[in-house]
Amino acid sequence: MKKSNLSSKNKNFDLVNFMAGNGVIWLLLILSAFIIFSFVVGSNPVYDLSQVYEVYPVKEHGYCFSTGYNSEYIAILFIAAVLGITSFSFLTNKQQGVTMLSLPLKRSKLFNQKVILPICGLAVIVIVTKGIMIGYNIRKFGVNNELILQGITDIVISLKYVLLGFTAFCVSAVTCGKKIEMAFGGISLIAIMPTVYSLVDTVLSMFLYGYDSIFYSTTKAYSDYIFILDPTREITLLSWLYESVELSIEKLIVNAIWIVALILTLVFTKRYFIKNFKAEKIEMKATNKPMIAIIGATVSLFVSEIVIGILTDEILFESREMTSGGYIGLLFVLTVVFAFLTICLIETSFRLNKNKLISVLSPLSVIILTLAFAFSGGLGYENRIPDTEDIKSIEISTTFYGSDMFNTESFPSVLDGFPEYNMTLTSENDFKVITEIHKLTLENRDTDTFEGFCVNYVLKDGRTMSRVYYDLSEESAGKLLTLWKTDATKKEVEEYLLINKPTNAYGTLGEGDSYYNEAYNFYEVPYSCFNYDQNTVFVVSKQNTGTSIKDKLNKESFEQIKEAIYKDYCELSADEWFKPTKTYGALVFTYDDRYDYVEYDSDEVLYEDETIAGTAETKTDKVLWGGFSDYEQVVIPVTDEMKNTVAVLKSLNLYQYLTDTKAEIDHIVIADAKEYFEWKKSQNIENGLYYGEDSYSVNFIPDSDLEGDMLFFGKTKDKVYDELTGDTDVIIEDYESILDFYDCSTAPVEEIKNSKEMYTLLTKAHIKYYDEELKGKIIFVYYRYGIDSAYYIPA
Amino acid sequence: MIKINSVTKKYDDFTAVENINIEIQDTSVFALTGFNGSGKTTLLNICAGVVKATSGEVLLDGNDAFDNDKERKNLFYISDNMFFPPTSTIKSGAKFYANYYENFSFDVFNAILSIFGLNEKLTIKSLSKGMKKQVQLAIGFAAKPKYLLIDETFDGLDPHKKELLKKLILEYINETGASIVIASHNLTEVSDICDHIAILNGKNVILNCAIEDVSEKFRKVLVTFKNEVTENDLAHINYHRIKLSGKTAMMTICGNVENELVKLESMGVESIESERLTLEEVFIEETEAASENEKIKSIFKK
Repeated sequence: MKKSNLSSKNKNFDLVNFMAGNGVIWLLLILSAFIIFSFVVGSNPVYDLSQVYEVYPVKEHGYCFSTGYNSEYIAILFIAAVLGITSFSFLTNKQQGVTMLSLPLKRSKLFNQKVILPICGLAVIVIVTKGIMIGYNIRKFGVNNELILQGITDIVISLKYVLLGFTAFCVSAVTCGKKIEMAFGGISLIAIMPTVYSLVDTVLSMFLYGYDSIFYSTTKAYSDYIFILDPTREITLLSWLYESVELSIEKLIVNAIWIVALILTLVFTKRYFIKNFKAEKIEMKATNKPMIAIIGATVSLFVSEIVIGILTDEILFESREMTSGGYIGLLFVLTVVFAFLTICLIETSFRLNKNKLISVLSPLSVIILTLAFAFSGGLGYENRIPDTEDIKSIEISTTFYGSDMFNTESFPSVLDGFPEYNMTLTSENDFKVITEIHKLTLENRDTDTFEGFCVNYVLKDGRTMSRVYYDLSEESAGKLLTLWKTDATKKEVEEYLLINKPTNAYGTLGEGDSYYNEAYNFYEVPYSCFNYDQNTVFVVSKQNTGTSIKDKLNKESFEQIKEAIYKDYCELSADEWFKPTKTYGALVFTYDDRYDYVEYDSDEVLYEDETIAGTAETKTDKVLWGGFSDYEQVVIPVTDEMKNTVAVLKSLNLYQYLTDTKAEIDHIVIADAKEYFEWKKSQNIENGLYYGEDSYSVNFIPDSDLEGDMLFFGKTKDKVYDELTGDTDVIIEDYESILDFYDCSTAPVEEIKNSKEMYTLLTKAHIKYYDEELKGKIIFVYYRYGIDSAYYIPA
Repeated sequence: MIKINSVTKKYDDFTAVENINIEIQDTSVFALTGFNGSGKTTLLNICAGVVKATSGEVLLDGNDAFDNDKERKNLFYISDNMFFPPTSTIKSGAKFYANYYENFSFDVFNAILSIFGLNEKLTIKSLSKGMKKQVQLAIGFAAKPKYLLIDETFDGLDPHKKELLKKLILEYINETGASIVIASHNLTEVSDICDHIAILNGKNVILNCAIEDVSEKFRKVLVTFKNEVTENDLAHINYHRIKLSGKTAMMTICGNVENELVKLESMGVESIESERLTLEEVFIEETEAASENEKIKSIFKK
């Protein structure tokens, strides 16, 4: 290492002492190494790394690399900021400042001394730490382009935060005179863009009904242009501390540009320090007017938005009751107050002066500009429904939180594999459907509901218009049913039903997908629930959970059924399809996942076996697959309106199964309810999946007198359970331990003395919510065919 | 030589020093005096390159001092409150400065510490104000600068240490031919060791001369005239301050004293006595502090 320029010829130069002179920086760097290393490695253990890597594609999800979590970036930013403060604190301390500036050291050299050690030190720590993780990943998964890109992008982002935290406080120290001003200044420089974004978001959402978020709305068209202005994007974008960042070549470039910009900022700051820095302002208050404006705007807007959020959500009124005028008025008042208080705090004086006027006017001008932006329809945020001829395509997805909108007396959706509708529409007919729904939505709102949909219009001129609605009236919500009759949906249904498009959970992954092979060294076999060779089909009646009819079908009759369903789907209106006069039962098409296998190096099959879902193990160090654990099924209702389907089922002598009242029970498991809940909770905690005390779920028969398609085990006691009435000869065995519970699961059905009566009992036990505190039994019924179910029998 | 050329320093609307011109020759002890806030520290800060002059320049051996590391190697500035790294001892504090001054001599440093009776292992934080000053002075001399600037030189030092310091200063100049600039309001101490003095009055230099010239230039004169006189009668006399009482006039005269005495004698005097002013008296006269005496008296009369 080269000694400082000054010291290289100095016989008195003492490296140890020189380092000791920067002792605080060294100490911080050592501390930083511990913190960053523990964040990167400690919070993402090896096991998790391999888990996430195997499951999610890099490009689509970005979870495959354990590094790149925003908690790491926050830590790096914080440490860099502390180093910046420490390095340049001499500029806010008269004693130190005068001494350092009087030393025989050119200001440029002094600046370099203060910058190079902390930045290089921290950069080395980051690069080494991330390098270890990259090395680990390479060792485990082999070298591939995606991993290298991921690693480099992650390092570049981390270095950006190193520079950002340091530069913000360096600029602040050089321009401000007091420590408190420097602190506010540095924080403001970092937070200014997220704060402005947040303001723009909030203001636009007040004026543009359905406007959701700049992060959502601008994703399609403007992300690259807008988000490049926010250096803290990775942090502000993600709400979870351990959420990882989607990494890509675009983000690599954007962050590389930021690094260059921050280095240039440091260079300009150095020039300012050399030419214009005034030592006499050290420890003097509020000396830099641009910085006062930035601090005033950022701090007051940031605090105001938080306060308004608390007021609207917690204290004064529901957010939906807030008018745009009221919001803007409150924002004006609060920003003025907070801007004034902030500068008072910096100046330790309440006297009105020019600085305070600047600090008050700066946020107000930002608000006014934002309002002008909102009214002028800047960046395409126009409060209108586009004309159909202007639309290139529409992306629409429905988000039904706890909604029973489509949970008619039949089934949740046309195809059970589509719990959410998520489509890209390109035909003019579909554009008309969507714009009609949109128009209806704007005209009718119901603030008591949370029914909604997201729509993203991609216009022919390249702009986009995105809206999210959560408060649809019943009429508007009902209109959404027409989505299932759009051209796009028809095509999709046709592809699934008749062309056997793969129904894999993670999308279509063809054999020739070279990207996928390169990234993972394996691919998943595409499958379809509607493929005769791969599936099992059941008929589910209202009274039982399924009778297999696979052995009663040949390929021809199987196709006949599917064609009949498709014909019915085409002929029936959405209302007829979703609101049938009578539902007989359902056809359940399931995929038999025993055919899963893995492949390594794209051509060479290393491991192929009949596996039980989720239990396949790695056979060699290089095989990466653990198997799918999902039970894939598509449930299609059979209703009175489905004349074609009913006719085919009758012609094939399968109609009778829709009225079956018997179910072939394989075995039954009975456990003490409380014990089961505790066991389940412990399992969830062990698996890292338990985030609260909200819910557990079990599979459930889709059609019966029971409501909902999922059961929730919650702690709420407000759900009422029907009392079990009448005597029964059924003996419910009393198991007291989890061990017994396990043992029971192997008990053959013959040991249950009266399975018929047991079934009768179970169907009478109305189940919706389970309360952990309630005494009683949980009964798991495993049917020979069909879907297993769980029941709660109150004590 | 340190040459201060037309230096003006303004802080927004406030002018700290204005158009200052001073030359500090080699091998001299230069006193910079003035009342509190008169601009002494500002001027030293400008000389040391801490603060940049609004206009004008400070030349060290003909080169601009500001941000000039080559010239500033020959300059050491002992500010009123020098910085030491946190938790440093006297020794490590000295090492901190030694890193920047290649002529730094630990022999000199240790010798001065020994004279002051300081233990190098003591931490800086544990020292009293006077002891800290002694450490700073020891570091300053040990750096062997050609120009040593000392702000508030005698602050906190006991009489014995003051004497030691004076001897050190004189010895240092004799040995090295250096120039030492001392900013202080302790005129007695200054007059003992300085060969030149400049008095600042809040903006300007009102006196800049050799110490021995001070007493020559300033006289207190007591004149008894044969008749009563008024200020109009004395208008042609170049006096600095005057107090008339009947036939008697007490005045201070600066400049060509002998010439003024001749003028007075020509007016018909019964007696005339002249007395040389001390440095402190000159300071008071020049900074117009004398006029405040009457104001002070009037405060308590009310």
